[in-house]
Parts: sequence; structure tokens; C-alpha cells
Amino acid sequence: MNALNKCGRVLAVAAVLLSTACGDLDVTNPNAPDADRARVGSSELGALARGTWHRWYRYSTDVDPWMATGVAADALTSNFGNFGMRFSNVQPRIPYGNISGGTDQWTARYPWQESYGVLGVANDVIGSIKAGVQAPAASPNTAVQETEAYHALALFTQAASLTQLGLIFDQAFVVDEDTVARISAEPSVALELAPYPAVVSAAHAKWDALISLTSTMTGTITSPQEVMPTVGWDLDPESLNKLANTMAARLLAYAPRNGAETAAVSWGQVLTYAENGITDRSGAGFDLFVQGNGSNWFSYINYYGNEPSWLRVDHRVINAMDPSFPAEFDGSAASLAEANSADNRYASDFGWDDGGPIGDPLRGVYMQSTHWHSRWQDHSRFAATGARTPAPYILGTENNLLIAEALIRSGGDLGDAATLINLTRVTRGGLPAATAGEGAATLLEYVQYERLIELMNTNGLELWDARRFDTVQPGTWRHLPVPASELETLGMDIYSIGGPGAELRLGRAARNIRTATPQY
Amino acid sequence: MNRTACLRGLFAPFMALFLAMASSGTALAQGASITGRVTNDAGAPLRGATVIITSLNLGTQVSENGTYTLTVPAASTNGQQVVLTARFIGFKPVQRTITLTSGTQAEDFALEADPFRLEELVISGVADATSQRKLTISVARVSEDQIANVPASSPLQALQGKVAGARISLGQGNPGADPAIRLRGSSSLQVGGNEPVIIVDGVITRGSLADIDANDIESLEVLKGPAAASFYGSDAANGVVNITTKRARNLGDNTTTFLVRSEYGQSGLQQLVPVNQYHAYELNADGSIATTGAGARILKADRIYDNPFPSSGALRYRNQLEEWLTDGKFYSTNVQLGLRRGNTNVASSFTVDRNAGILPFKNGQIRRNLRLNVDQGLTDNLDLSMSVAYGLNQNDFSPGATTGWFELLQAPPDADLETPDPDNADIAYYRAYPQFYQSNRVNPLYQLRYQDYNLRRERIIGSVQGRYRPTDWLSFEAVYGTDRLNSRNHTYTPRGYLTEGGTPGTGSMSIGTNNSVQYNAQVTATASRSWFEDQLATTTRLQYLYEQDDSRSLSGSGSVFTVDAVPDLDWFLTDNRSSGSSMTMERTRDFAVVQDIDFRDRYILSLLYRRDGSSLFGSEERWADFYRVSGAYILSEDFQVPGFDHIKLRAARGTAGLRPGFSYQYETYNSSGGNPVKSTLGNRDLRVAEVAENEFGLEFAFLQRFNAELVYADRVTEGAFLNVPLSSAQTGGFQSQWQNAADISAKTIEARFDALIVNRTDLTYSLTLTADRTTQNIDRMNRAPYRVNATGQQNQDMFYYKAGEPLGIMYGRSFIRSLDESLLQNHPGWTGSVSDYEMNPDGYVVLSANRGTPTELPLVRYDDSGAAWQGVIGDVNPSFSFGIANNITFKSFNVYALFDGVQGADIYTFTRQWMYQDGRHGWMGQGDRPASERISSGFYQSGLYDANNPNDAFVEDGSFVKLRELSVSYNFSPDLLNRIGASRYISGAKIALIGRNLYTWTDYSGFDPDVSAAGDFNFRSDGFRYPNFRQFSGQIELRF
Repeated sequence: MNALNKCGRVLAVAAVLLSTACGDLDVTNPNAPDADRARVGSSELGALARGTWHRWYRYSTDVDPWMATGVAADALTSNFGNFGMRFSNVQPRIPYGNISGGTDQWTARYPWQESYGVLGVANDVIGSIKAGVQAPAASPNTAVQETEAYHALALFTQAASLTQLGLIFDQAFVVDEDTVARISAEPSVALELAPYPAVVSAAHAKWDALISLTSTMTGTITSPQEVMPTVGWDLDPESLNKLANTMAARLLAYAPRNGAETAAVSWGQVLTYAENGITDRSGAGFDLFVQGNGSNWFSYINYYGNEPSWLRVDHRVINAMDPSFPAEFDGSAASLAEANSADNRYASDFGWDDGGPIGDPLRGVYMQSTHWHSRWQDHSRFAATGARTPAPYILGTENNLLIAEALIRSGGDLGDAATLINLTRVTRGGLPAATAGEGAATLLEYVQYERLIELMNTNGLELWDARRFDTVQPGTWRHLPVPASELETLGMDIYSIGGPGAELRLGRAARNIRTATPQY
Repeated sequence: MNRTACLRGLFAPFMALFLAMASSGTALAQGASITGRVTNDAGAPLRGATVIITSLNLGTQVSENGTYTLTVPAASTNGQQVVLTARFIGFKPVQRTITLTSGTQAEDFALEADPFRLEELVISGVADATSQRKLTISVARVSEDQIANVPASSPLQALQGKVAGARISLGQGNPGADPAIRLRGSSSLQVGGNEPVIIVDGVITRGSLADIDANDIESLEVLKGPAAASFYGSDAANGVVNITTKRARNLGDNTTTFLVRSEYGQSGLQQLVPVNQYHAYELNADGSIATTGAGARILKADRIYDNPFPSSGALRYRNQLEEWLTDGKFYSTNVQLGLRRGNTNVASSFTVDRNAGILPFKNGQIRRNLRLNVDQGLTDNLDLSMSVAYGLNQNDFSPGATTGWFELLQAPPDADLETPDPDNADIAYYRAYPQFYQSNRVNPLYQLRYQDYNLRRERIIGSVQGRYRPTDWLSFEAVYGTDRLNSRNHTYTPRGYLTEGGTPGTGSMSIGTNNSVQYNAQVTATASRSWFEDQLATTTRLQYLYEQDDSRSLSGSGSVFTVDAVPDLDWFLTDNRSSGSSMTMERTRDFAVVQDIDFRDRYILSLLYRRDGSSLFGSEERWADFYRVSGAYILSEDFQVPGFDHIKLRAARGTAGLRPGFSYQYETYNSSGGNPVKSTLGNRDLRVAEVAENEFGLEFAFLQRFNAELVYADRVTEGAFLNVPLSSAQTGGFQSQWQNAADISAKTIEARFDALIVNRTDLTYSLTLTADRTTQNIDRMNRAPYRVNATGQQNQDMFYYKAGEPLGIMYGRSFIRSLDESLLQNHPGWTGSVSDYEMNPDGYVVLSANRGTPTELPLVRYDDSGAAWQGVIGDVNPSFSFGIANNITFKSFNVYALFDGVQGADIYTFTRQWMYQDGRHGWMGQGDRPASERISSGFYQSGLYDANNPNDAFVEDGSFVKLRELSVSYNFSPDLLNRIGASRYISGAKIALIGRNLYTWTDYSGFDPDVSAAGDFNFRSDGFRYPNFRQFSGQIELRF
């Protein structure tokens, strides 16, 4: 029994050691902030507010939905199955395939998910500030000024995300810091989908709030390049105010889904916003270029949009520059030949591929093209500098043309409008100067043409223009449905948009997916 | 206390004790010597049988003439009583109590046949080692002799076809990929969440089993579900596979054995995906493809793929799969050493093997494994065992990668992939498909040749066990087991690597290291006593177990090299470098008590309770309880049924759990450029997913030739984990939350039948049949149904979770395949008359007016509400699966053949769907059909292809029968060795021809029907993955 005692003691000691000495069951996750640590506190306000800018910019220049909207607008073309391109390009047009499977689901799902992701954080920041959380002072700002700056930054991404939702979807949830407060007070409250005019209106109110805030701010934005690496200027209250005005003008001008809605826009209001925007009536001002660094900051719109082996330019655009050129590729000698345009930009901004079109003709010859957009090719995957050059997001030209269009549509000074149009039409295009004498209708056509050529592959506005100018093909979806995955989560019927007569909402068969078999 | 110090502290006493005692086993002077003969009941010697004294951890082997000598050292010879056991595979062991005294004593044994191994001892999930005959639960045991014929590349593969209710599959064939295993039904909805716990010599391991050498296995015991595995608690709901490696404790004293086994062979595919041999372009008179002046190919008006490619010239037809898939080399050399001297025995083995796979330019996996198992008797009631295995695994193709397969399957048949780059003389292969077609597809040869991958993984799995038996009825055991992993991987694309468009890339590289230290430490006390003149036997076991897992990983990557040919992160532009790290910690404490009661060898009851506390459970739910009640009645002890040798009825109910993943309970934010982005909503109330299983078994052996086992098991998982997608609009930006969100049930009927069909001296034929049928269902889910993608790879979310539906369904839309008016009426293009429609030669309804024209399209099925129908289009669950192992011995020849298969498990052939878009799949070619039956390309390319969305055109029956393992061997008898004069050098020799995955009978159109995504049987989709291939080799084995 001696051995029993001795070894029993050893085992007992081992047991005690095992049961007491090693490790506690309360383990924290060192890899990601936990709820308590991420709840917006004083020191987190800055990181969270800045982070919303980065995420907003990335999804606003990503492949989804901008590759699909580009081909749906017949500005760009491709027949590859990636990024919703092939089936948004099919003739005759078919409904958007709104199902929760397959890659095309991301056309709607990605901007939806990212918009609400950004809104979630922006709302937290604003809600916390309203609840009294204050950022630490950061030279030269006092704590109050620093807090105000983060409030302004979060207000921008809040408004910008609601803007994307209002432009892209037929309906969406309007959520802001007040909604969050309401839900946390009463978790059973279910949000309701609002039709796009209500979403646009909510975004509009947020831009007004930002314009108002930035007009009275006394401090500055510290470390502006960490918010967004702008090129040639830094974010400060004044530039943020101008940017907010341009964004508001864009929202009102691009929200219409057809010509009739376009006519109904308050163009006087657009004019006011645009004139207070990043350029003035003389065209002086600044562009919003974002410096690409190949990792955190870059634009897929340029990375793929200017890459000739992925996306080409629809022959309708080439036809706009050279009316003798076939408006649709058909494989004929004429459509394979180089065009001949009076517009200097045909040579400077576009490439002609003498090797012929890309893609499989069996998917639809009309989806092919011999031309590609080369203006921003330094930023494209095609170039050794890909993703690492400044990428255009809002050009001063876009604001100029908004002023011009608003002048024309609101009965303003056509001479001023012509001057703004000529800033690119004559200087870059080498085309005859537009004059007030040509009349509003012609000047509006010039605006439309300048927008098509100048603003291609900047911020994904091709479809917004095509729908409000009514140049989309019949049956083209003019906005996207709430993504099927979200409808599934909410337990709602899945519906889609597109196909003849269903450009705004699919009527019959409003449930489930595509109602016509894909054609080629 | 510092945890590392704690570990060391724990390890040190065992090591010190072991080292101090290692040399003490040689004092033999005044020991006991037991000698005798071991024969069968007819008096024939049983060579290789063992005679052991378990309490002293001593044993010896019986020689060729049936004699043995077991020497007990003087230190252990105290005049005490010990149990002497003689046992041999296929015979009932005989136990005899003797008194150990100095000098020689004789003990002869005559063993009765036990052809179905009912007396074989099982150690898993029971209070103490228990014979199969007396088990109250299902424990399947596979021993060395059942796996030695065809050594498996991984221990789990060794179970294939041999255990009823176990499904094992190499869902993808990458050399070094882990096989997937599922025991009975699913307990989890997580992709890959149905894997059992693996224990190797007491080490609870969660790393890759590709690092464990199947040559080392002595036995595998499989507990298939909670009814058996509740002993293993909160991690064991999917069952347990307990692996015991070979030891030398049964060798004769002062004996050394040495074995060399070498195998060499080749790999290859039995069946290739059919590829399109025809095109839809106009031809020139000479049969070449006509082009326009501008060089573009001219589409035929009918757009039918029925013109053959030229048979010669640069643009000739070639089957790219036949041309480029290689017959990779396979070799393996295994050396085993065993020695015993006194109280010390040592078993060691070393294996090096290489599996090159079937892709060009890739060497595949090279693996080296070293094992050392030592047993040391310290005193007559205290002994120590140590097991340690070191594995080094190197691979130049990631075990999970699909690189090259998409590009190879999609390569046009007239593309000469060997075309050199005209602009770069140094580059052997042009970057893209060289001819017409899509210029944005990479040439697979360019990719495989110039992209570099390297994996190096080191693993140490070791354990120390100490056993102390103060009396013959009481024992204590302490086990410390550890599994340590160091791995690094490296992916490198050099600067200058061309994009498909021809632009020199800036290069990229990613490196990652992973270090993980797991350990488990356990103390156990077991008391076994007999009462009432041996009428009642009880065994009580108390156990405490502590588990800890600390993992660290670091990664770095970059994408713009500033210099050429320096694969180092320092040479990336600062903005284009990124780094990441991860740290996880898990701790679990478990307590268990088991009480077994055996009354008169026929009424057996087992009771178990276990309590686990784990850091993985939400902070509000830290502890969980599990139990088991099981009983057996050996009916044949009470009633003699003529012809029946053994009849047992048993029933068990047990619970076990599944632990949440490390991050599940926490709120997580992802980093976006260093800024936090909301990801997962935390859940502090997350608890263990609890699985309860009922198991009913009937076992019977009859006519001394047949043995059968029938089992019915049903299990219910309550609170299965699901990363529930949330409406980020409603949650303030969080996209999902881990919840105990679903209840799942599974029912299994399994059967095993063993037969000794022929049992003559020079000819034996035995057969083992295993079969099972499993159904599984999602009973409840607290969210709306949704699609699931097993791999995250694009478009492969054809699987669907829906309450009330089976787990494993595919969901999608359907095309009309019958001229049923009610179906046609719902279609928006309905013409008003069925006579306007016809079935096309592929069996799809089309408009007659479009038949044979480029506008011929399949018609999507619509439901009565006018919506495109969406529903269940496939089910991955087989109606049954089975394995048949045949073993025939004729004189010195042995033939072993294992067949296995499934009936009726659907596969989604995503590969075919995508190949349809590109015109590449063989079923699109129309050249072999009469002209009137040909179908235009758009029918496939737009119609069935359907934007890669899930539809029923791509659901195929995945039934198959496989000749999974085959070996034909010849054993050189001692006589023969003597006659040829080799017996001076070797004591035994064997030569064999071996086939693995040798032949498959199936209607499935892909490479191989053994398909699953992400190592999970619930996701049978075939999407450009490395297929399972076959191997054929020759083996030679020499024993010294």
C-alpha cells in the first residue's frame, strides 16, 4: 500500500494541477473588436467615421453593379458572364435575374449590402455624437470642432449611401440614427420598404443637413488624406460643402427613371446646388480624383472599364461620334473598320482593336465591339500602373454639365450653358462651338453627348443618363429590385424588374426570377 | 500561471521518470519464466498468437511450432497472482490466473475459434476494455490485418467500405487533400461540420490526418454517434475515430523485427469529361475553318456544332485533357522496426511517400513520417508508454486548389497550348489560349508552369501515458497528449508574369505561417470488481480531462514588386503590402463518470454522465451536461437457439455536443483598410449544439460461419449552429449572427454481414458486407429558407436549407420535359395548342417552329401563379450506400477486393454547365447525330446554361459502384524461402499488385462520381475541382 499512497499522491497532485492551474474558460477574441470595445466611444469616432468613406468609395466604384449598368445603358459592352454583364446586355432585354444563387445576384446584392454596411456605421457615429460622445481634441481642432468634423464626415457617407440606394433600387429602407434609436428602444419595430422617391427625398434632406453643417463649422478636418486620398486638394469644411452641393445636384438630376420624371425635376434647385458645387458657372473649380494605391484605394470602374480584354465600348457610342459608323456590331467589314470622327476625343479617349472583337460571337454578335475606352487606361488592369494612378470619381465637367443642363431646363441663360458645354466640346473635342442661338433642345443634345463622352467610366452614371434621357432599349431594367437574398431573409416575395413593359417593376409573375428565357 | 510553464511542468515529471527508468528493465536474474504451447482446439500450433500479463504490461509471441516463453523480471516477481491471457486474431482468448514465483512454470492453451472477433477488446467509449460480445453500444473496429493489403494514404481512407454507416470520400483528388468522413447522418448545418473527433494514442487531434501514416495503425475504433460517443462529450456528436498505433509489447523477449515495404506505381484517370469535337463555323473546301478578310471566323447560319475540326495543322483537333493530364508517379517506402528487451519495448517506423497527382509541372505531395512508440514497465504495477510521431509534408500544389482545371477543361480543341510566346523567347508557353476564342482566358500551362506554390508542414503528435495498478481491481491512468503544428505556405507570381491581355504584371506574393499547440491532459481512475461469486461484475470510471488549443497565424502579401526575381515582401511598394494575424485560444474542462454493470454475463447496463465547460460556449452558457444509458441482453446465454452461436439485443440513448467555432460568440468587425467594418453580430447566449441519439442493435452469429449486425439509430440535433444571414438594414450593418438556429434529425439503418464462405486449409474465402441507409432532415430553422454555397466559389450555391426539407437538397428551376398541357399553359409563351410543341432529341419540350433553328430554346417551367417555378431539383442523399470486402486465400496467394458504392445520390455538374457557355462540353457536339436530330448551339449555350443559375439540366444521378481497393499478393512461405536460400537473410517476403480507386461503374458524365465540395457530403457539386484519380502499383515487402 506504500506504493499506492505514493503514486496516488502523484496522481492527486497531477489532478489538482490540471484542474486549477491551466487556463480560464473566459477567453477573449483578440482578432476583432468585441461589441463593448467597438461601441462608439470617444476614441473610436474618428476611425469609424473615416472608415465609412473608404467603404463608400470602394463600393461606389466596384464591379457590381457598375459593369451591369454600363452595358444595360448601351455605353459599354461585354458578353462575359462576369459582373452581370452578359444577361444585362441581352437583346431583346430580359428581366434582371433576381435570385439568391449565381453570380448575377451580386449586381443587386453587393450595393445593397454595402450601402447598409456604411449606413450602419455612419448612423452609429452620428447617433453617438447626438448622445453626447465627444472626440478628443486634435490640433488644431478643439474637442468640439473635432467632433463636428466627424459628424460632417459621417453625414456625408450617410447621405451618399442613401443616395446610392435611391438611385439603384426601386425601393429601400430609409435608416438613419433616429431609426436605430427607435429600433433599440423597441426591437419589435419592423422597418418598411419605401419607394425610391421617398429614399431620394431622405437622401436629399441629409445633403441639406450636411450643407448646413459645413457652412457653420469652425474647425477643420484633421488628417484629410486619411479620410480620402484626394488629388490636388484636401477635404476641409469648404470643399466638403461644395462636394455636398454637387452630390445633391447629382441626386436630383439622376433620380428620374424616364424623360417624364426628368422634366418634373426642380431644375432651379439643381442649378442652385450645382452652382454651389465643385465648379461654378465659369467652370472654375476642382475635380474629385482619388489617388489609387493598388490596395485600399482604387476604382474597379477604371480597372476593368478601361481594360480592353474585359469591357468594350458599345458601337452606339462610336456611332454618336461618327454617324456613318454602324450603331451595332454585326461582324461586317464596316463594323470591323476604324471609325472616322470629327471629334478629337475619338482618337484621344478611345482605342480601336484591329485584332477584332472579344468574346464568343455565339453569345450574341451584337454584344461585341472593336472599340475600347482608353482615357483612363493608366488605372486599368491593362497598364503596369493599374490601380495606382488617380482615378476620376466626379469630374468638374460633370458639375459644369449639370449647371448647363439645369440652366437649359429651367429657362436660364443659354449663353452660359453653351460656354460650359464648350469647355470640353471645343477644347477637347475640337468640335464647332455651341451657341445660345442653337436653342435649348440642341444644347440639351450637346449636354447629353458631352456627358456620354466625357463622363464615361467615372462614377457609373451611364444608366442614370440613359434612363432619364430615355435612350435605353425597351425592356431594360431602369433600376434594380431589392436583392432576392434580402427578400428571403425578410420572408417577402421575390420579384424582379425588366423585360418589355416591366422596366420599373415586373407586373405579372412579380414573384421569383427571370420570366423570359435568355435569348441570344 | 504562465501556460507554457504549466505545460512544461506537467510534461517534465513523466519525462524524468521515463528516462530514469528506461534502463531498469534488464534485471532478469531471478525472474519467473512461463513456457508452454498455444494451439487451436484441434492441436495445431497458432504461430503469432500472444501470451500476455496485462497487469505487468508484458507479453510474448508464439513461435512457429506453437511454443512460447514469457519471462518476468525478478523485480516484478513477488509471488503475486496475475492473469495470464493467450489470444490470437480469430480465436477466443483464454485467461488463467497464476501465481508468479521465481523459476519456470508451464501453461498450455488451446484456443477456440472466434472467426468474427466477438472477443476482441474495444477500448473506446467504454469504462474499461470490453469485448465486442458484451458491448452495449456500436463500436466498429478495423484492425491492421484488414488494412494492410492496400495501405491507405490516410487513416480515414482505411475505413472506406469497411464500416457500416461511415461514408468516406476524397471529394477532390489533390495530393495531400484530407478525405471527408461522415458517420451516419449530419448533426450540423455548417459546411464541413460533420467531421468526427480523431484521437491518436490518446491525443485529441484536429489537424490534417494527411500527416498520420496509415502504415502505423494497429487498429481503428469508430463510434458513430452520440449514443456511443457521449463519453467524449461536447465535441463528439459526429462520432469518434480512435486510432491506436503499433507497439512492440507482444514481441518475444530479446526479439527484434524489421520490415521493409516498398510500393511504386502510377496515377491516372479512368474517365474524362466529354469534350466537344465539333464547331459551328463555315468551312473552306479543304475542311479548314473559313474566315473573313479581316480574319474573323464565320458562324454558320444554323449555328449547329456539327463541323469537325481539321485533323492536322496548327488548328487541328486535340483532346486537351488527354494531352495534358499526366500519369503522375506514386511511391512509398515504409520501414518498421520492433524490439523488446525485458520491460522495455520499442516500435518505430519511417515512411517516405510521394504522390505526384495528374497535373503537368506539379510534383504533388512528398511526405515523411517518423514514429517511435516505447513502453516501459517500471514496477510490477506501474508502467509508462510514450508515443511520438513526426511528420513533414511538402507540396507544390495546394491541397485545396483548383488552379488549372477550369482553364484546361475550357481550352478550345484547336488551341495549341504549347505555342511559345512570340514576344518573349524565354517564355515557353503563350499566356492565353493562342487562337481565336476568348482572349481573357489564361493558358493553363502558362499558369501551372510559372506560378509558384509551396507548402511545408511539420507536425508532432505525441503522448505519454502512465498506468498504475495498486490492486488487481483498481487502476489509475494519466495521459498527456499534444499535437503541435508548424506550417508555412508561399504563393508567388513573379514580376513580369503576363496578364491574359499581355501586360507584364507587377508580381504578387503571399506568405503565411501557422503555429498551433494543442494539448489534452487526462486523469482516470477505474475500479473493476466481481461480486456474488462472479455473478455480478461492475466497472466504475472517473475521469477529468483538460483540453487547450492555442493557435497563431501570421500572413503577409504584396502585389507590386519593385525589383525582379526577389520573392521577398521587402521589395513591394509600401502601399501594396499588407499583413494579417490571428490568435485563437480555446479551453475546455470535462468531467465524466461511467458505471458498467454486468450480471451473469448476459444482462449488461452502462450509465454515463459528463459535464463540459468550454470557453467556446457563450459567456452565459459556459457548462453543458451529457449522459448515456445503454444496455444489452445476450439472449443466447439464456436460450439455446439451434444453429445460433450468439444473439444479442441492445439499446442505447446518449447525448453529445458540437462546440461553436472560436469566433461565433463574439461581435466581429472586419478590417477595411485598417478601419472596422461590421461583420458578425455577437451572441453571448450561444450554447453547445446538443445531439441526442437512440440506437437499437441486434447481433447474431450462426452456423460458425456467419455473423450479422443490424442497427437502427435516430438522432436529433437541437440548436445546430448557423451563421444566420441578417438584414443589414435592420441590424445597423451587421450581416449575420451565429445562432443555435436549427434542429436537424437523421435516421440510419445499418447492417453488417460477415461470412466465412470457404474455410479449408489451403483455400479460404471470406466476405464482409456493410450497408446503410440514412435520411436527414431540417426540422426547424429560425429563418427563411436560403441558399448555401459550400466553397464560396462563384455560382455554386445550388444547395438550399429549408425547414421541413431533407438536408442535402438542391434547389433551382426546371425545364419542361413532357408535353403536358397544364405545364405548357403556364408558360408565358403558350401558343394555345400542345400541337405547336414537340420534344427535341435531348428530351426537352421546344416550340416546333423553332426546332433545329438557332432560336430553339428549352421552356422554363412556370407555376400556376405565373411565376417561374423554383423547387427541389436534386438530393445528394443516397437511398443506400454499401461496401463489400472479399478476401480469398489460396495457398500462398491472396486476393483482396473491396467494392463500395452508393445508389441514387445526385450530383450537380457545375463543370458541364459552365462548359456549355463556352461550347466546350462534348454533349453539345452534334456531328454524330443524324442531321434531322441536331440541335443548335443556343439551346445549350443560352438556354440550358441559364447564366450559371441552378437548374435541373445539370443534376445527374451520382450512383456508382467502385472497385475501391484491389490487391493480388503472393506470400513466400518459410519453406520456399528456405529452398531458394533466402531464409538466411529474410524471415518473410510478399509481393503484391495493388490498385486504388481502380474501376468505377457509373452513368455520371464527369471525371469521377466521388464528388463533394468543401469535404462535406451534403454538398455534392462538381465544379472544376481536382478529380479523384486511380492508382496502380506494385509492392514488395520483406521481413527480417
